Amino acid sequence: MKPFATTLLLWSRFTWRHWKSTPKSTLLLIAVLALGVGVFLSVRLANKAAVAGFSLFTETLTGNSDFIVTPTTDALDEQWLREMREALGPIPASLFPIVETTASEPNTGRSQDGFDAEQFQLIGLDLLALQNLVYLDDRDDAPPTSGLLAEPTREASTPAPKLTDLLGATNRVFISQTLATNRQLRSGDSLELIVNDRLGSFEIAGVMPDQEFRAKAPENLLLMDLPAVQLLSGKRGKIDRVEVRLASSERQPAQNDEVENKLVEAAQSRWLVDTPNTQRSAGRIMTRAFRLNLTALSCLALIVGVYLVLQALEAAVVKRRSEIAILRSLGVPPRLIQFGWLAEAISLGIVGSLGGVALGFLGAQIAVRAVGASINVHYYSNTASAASLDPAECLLAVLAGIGASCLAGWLPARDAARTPPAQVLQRGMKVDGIKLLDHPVIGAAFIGVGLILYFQPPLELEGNVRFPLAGYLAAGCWVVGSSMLAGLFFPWLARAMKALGGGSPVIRYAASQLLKPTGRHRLTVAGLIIAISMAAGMNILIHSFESTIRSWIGYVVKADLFVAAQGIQNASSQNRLSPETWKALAADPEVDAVDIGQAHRVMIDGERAYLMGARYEQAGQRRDIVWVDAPAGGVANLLKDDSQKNFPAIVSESFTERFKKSVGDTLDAPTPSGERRLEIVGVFADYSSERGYLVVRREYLVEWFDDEHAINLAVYLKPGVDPESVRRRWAAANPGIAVRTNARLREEVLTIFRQTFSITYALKGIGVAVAVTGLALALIGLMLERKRELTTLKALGMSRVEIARATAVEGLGIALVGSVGGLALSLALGRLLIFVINKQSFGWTLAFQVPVGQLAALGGLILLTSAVVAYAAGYWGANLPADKEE
Amino acid sequence: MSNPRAASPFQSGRGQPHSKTCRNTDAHLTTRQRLGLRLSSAAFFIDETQINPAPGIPQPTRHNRNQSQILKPRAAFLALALGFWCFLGAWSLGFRASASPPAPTTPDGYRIPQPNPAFTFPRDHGSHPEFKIEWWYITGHLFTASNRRFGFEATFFRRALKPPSAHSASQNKNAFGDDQIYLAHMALSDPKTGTFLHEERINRGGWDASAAQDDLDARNGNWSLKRTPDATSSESMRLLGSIRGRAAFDLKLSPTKPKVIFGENGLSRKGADPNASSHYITFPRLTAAGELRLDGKTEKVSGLAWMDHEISSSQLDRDQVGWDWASVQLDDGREIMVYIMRTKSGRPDPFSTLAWIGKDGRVRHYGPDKFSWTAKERWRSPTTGAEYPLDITIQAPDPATGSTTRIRLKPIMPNQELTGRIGGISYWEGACDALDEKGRPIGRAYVELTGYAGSIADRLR
Repeated sequence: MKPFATTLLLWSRFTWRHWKSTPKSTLLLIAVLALGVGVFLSVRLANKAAVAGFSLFTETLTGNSDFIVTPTTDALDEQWLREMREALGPIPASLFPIVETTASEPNTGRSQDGFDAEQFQLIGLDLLALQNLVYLDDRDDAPPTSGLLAEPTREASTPAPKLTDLLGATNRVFISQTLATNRQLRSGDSLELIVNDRLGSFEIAGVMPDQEFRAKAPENLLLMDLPAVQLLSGKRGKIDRVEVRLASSERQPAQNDEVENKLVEAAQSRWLVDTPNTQRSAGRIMTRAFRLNLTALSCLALIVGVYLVLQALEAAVVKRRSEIAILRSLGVPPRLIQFGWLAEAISLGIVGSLGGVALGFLGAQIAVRAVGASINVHYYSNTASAASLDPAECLLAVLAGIGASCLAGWLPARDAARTPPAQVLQRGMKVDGIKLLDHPVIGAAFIGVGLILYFQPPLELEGNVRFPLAGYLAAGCWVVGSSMLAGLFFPWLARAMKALGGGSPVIRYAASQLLKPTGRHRLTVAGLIIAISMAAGMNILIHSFESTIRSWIGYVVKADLFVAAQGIQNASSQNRLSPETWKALAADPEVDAVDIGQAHRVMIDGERAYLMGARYEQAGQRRDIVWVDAPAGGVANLLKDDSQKNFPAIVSESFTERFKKSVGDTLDAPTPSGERRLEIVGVFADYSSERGYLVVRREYLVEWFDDEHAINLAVYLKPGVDPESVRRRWAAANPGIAVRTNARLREEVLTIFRQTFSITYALKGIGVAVAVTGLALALIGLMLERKRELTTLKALGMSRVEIARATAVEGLGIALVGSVGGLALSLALGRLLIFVINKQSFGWTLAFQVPVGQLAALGGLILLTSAVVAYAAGYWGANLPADKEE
Repeated sequence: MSNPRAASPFQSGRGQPHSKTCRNTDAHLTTRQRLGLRLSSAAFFIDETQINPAPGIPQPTRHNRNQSQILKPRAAFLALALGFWCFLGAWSLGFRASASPPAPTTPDGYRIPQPNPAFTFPRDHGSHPEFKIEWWYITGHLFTASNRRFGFEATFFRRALKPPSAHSASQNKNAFGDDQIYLAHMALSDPKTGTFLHEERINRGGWDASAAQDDLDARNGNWSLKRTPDATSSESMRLLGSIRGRAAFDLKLSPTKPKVIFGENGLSRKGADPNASSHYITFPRLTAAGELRLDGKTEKVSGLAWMDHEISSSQLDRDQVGWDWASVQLDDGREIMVYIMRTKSGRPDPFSTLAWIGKDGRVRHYGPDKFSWTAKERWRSPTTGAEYPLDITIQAPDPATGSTTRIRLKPIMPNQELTGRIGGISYWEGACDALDEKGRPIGRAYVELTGYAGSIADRLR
């Protein structure tokens, strides 16, 4: 018979028969694998959806753009458009300028200060020029396929207003079909919106139709004529970007190069010319570290799954040794038996992975919101609300699941094939199982390698992005090393138990099991160590982060009130306070002083950064700057007159990491009024953005950018003035602004912080669940393995409860080794996460803080759960008939 | 001749809802302007050295009701006359400026064309924003070195959204203006492959579309028409066009005959309403030379073109459902311009006209009772379903011989329909061969057929 047919026969007689006879444990095994694959897939799908939200946004405004022209500073001057056209000459390229801002709904009572207000992306496009998109298709009779806004006015169901009446109209918007459907809105209805700090009523001019041949408009997208958005957003004469489209037949490399070269030549460092691909990759690059970290964490879940499958298959090998021996006696070659086991592992992998795909898809729907929320807070506007089932990702997850299963099945298979039949057929023989983890020297070597990796620099990726690969590898080494070393503690523990337990047969029996731990004991404790160290390590990171931020905001958030335009709760928000508004507030008789927050985007070394304005004279008196590297001569050094050669600037710590700059370095910042050379004179701690800030005197910023719009206003009230009463008064008088008290802002900062880590909380929970499940699985396996021994014990007079207690003590012992080992490892992992992985990924210095209480609670929870689970397993196992398999 | 479809994308007839079908009341204006142009029996040549002796000093134009007159410089003797005319013109204008009432305007505030326009060229080749609508319209025939033939059309339209009194002072500098909008059409007919390429474009006045007021310089995206004086003529121009990335042309257009201004006293009346009128300037014969790139292959081309520049503020008549128009450039150096206004009753409008332009530039005008327009076949558009009468035969008196002549306008290919994807109004405008009664080629023509995909008047309202 051919090997394949034999393997198949073996599979059906051997594997399938067992699966059928032990459905519960088979299902449990599949569920464990599915969980691992599911977590892995859901995080990847969520990541992808979050980034796709960015891609969709850039790709579909005018269809498939060939180039995107973006400013090197805050915005493009609209007069430069003529220069771009001149530069292109007769080349048939269509240029679509775009202005964008955000609009939010007024506070509808959901929160005190509009922090939860619905936010829209308000896009300004030349509505008239948009009509030209229809001719950018290939076929004359083709329906317009040029992007979601190709025919914004052509909605069949309702009469549309005249296009010419929409030109420059600041009170008419087009909405998405999804929004229209969800809110039952029609043309002619009105929508209350806040743009910048002004509340206004906007008539719905039409609905952007969804059509099958083009991308669906995101729900939160609003469209208006470009000059109207310029007016509303305070960007008069400014353009955020220009999409360049060539007619389809002109899309040849030579023509593309010509267009790009001409635009670049005309740029004179005022703008950059990118392709949508590079824009998309910018989005990807921007969040790469974040997403890689998430993927690395999701891989941990998969590794835990591998451990569990390894445990389960190893248990199955043990359980079926007699059958293996019979097969060997019948002349089945060991290689074929190994194939048979691998086939079983693959079968498990396939079924488990398919279950994992389903689980992963469901999980992704939840995870995408968490990931999307984090990306929104820190990176860019993200429109993702649902993750789609990406075939490539699913295939990867299935392959990862099968691979993990094969990996887990390999050692048991080899073990099964190598066991001599005569040895196995001796009834009642106890076996050690696989010995992979019984190598303390190798374990110690892994710990040592991990230590070396701890000190390695990060992997440098495109776009000044660094990935702490060595850090993750160090974590892996430590986990593996600890798993191998953990077995050493069992004998010590057993002896201690014996010494402490007196003559209790229960303790003695449990201790005897731990005195000579099997491969299963080691595997179980390894699983526990991984799960506990992962969960606890993350706990340490989050705790340290939170304590650092609490302390930081204690320093920097000192004003009585904080004013911003409504909806400005994340990185994507562009609502700003108009100079009239903030000046009026600053002039309030109850106000003592104000800090005006102003920020502009600039390109530094080809990367986007924020240039902010500060009133240094306020520092020290009103607000503290937490220095990482204080300027020589203190803040006074920053107030030097303008005659100096370079403009002094201070930068955030993330900035120094990202751009590899330090005090004394200079850099050139493009501004609308020309390039300025800045000299870094100090580095301050900041945890609000991993992209980093560059700060100069506000007076410079106003002069260079000719713009006094503020992103926020920190208000210091006169002594004795009640902030809450001022807050109420201002909020009532200015519906377009959000006024927060000091306490509220601190609370919100922490809320945003927790949003960032929302996905890690979920992973932590999964880790604990998997660890406890693994323990239960291991103990059940042990019970099954010892069923003859248990029968003997019962015959000798041990009651079922005593057996259960003995098992509980044994389980507790395993959990104790796992918890202590896991928690000890978590301290090391915590340091690794804080000082290596976090620092290399985000550039934030955090204080190492151990949440002793939380870790103790985690350990206690694991011990308690383990004891309960072990007791239940023992109680169940004590009743097993000697010949029952499950 | 101008193109009534020009107005189609403007879609903003007062009180008319803008919709999928894109209504356009302004196209009425175009049609009536054209009608008015044909009504006028008088056209005259202008030699700019005579009427514009000094830059910036406008002169009253000389005209003759029934025959054109060519004025040529006559060396020193004429220089004296020139000085006199210059003085007289300046005095006349100054007097009129101080004594005449302000130029009459339409109820919505746009200037109404008046008789005896004081044209100053090249300034009057430029834009006239005080009028509501204006266009520069070129059609022509091109040949490669290997005698491969093409027909082409290039049009630039301007339409005011606001009357001059409401124009913002900074409008000329605004990147996104809202005083004027600009539309343009480009088309190329390739009889060898039967391919008809066309594209429409609409833009607001500003960074990507404009028309200079002091000279001919109209732009719409990468398309442009600009006066570029050279040794051949001070009125040569350069046309840059492209069509959907497949075709592009860069042509030098040079007049070989002086421009013609249609209409009595330089005013082209459009109907009974005295406000319905236009100023209409035409180059009936331009040499065209340059490059044509088609599907990646660039070739030198040369040929003949026709250009109209028309300025107006009036509206279209409700009774008109469409029009048929043709320009014919005969090999003997003469041209014909003819149009039939089709009314709801099916009868040609009395404004329908056929005009002969002689070798010497003289124009003879014939009413609809003197000529006929008959189509031999009908062609149904696979895109719009409209059915167009093609292969036209014009029967009219020939002023050179006094006898009746028949000229057949045979399309070089049937599908030359502009489908109006932006403007919503479809029309047929295509290159034709002009054949005599025996089928021998005697020239080339361009024919325009509108209102066959539904009544233009109804669509435009």
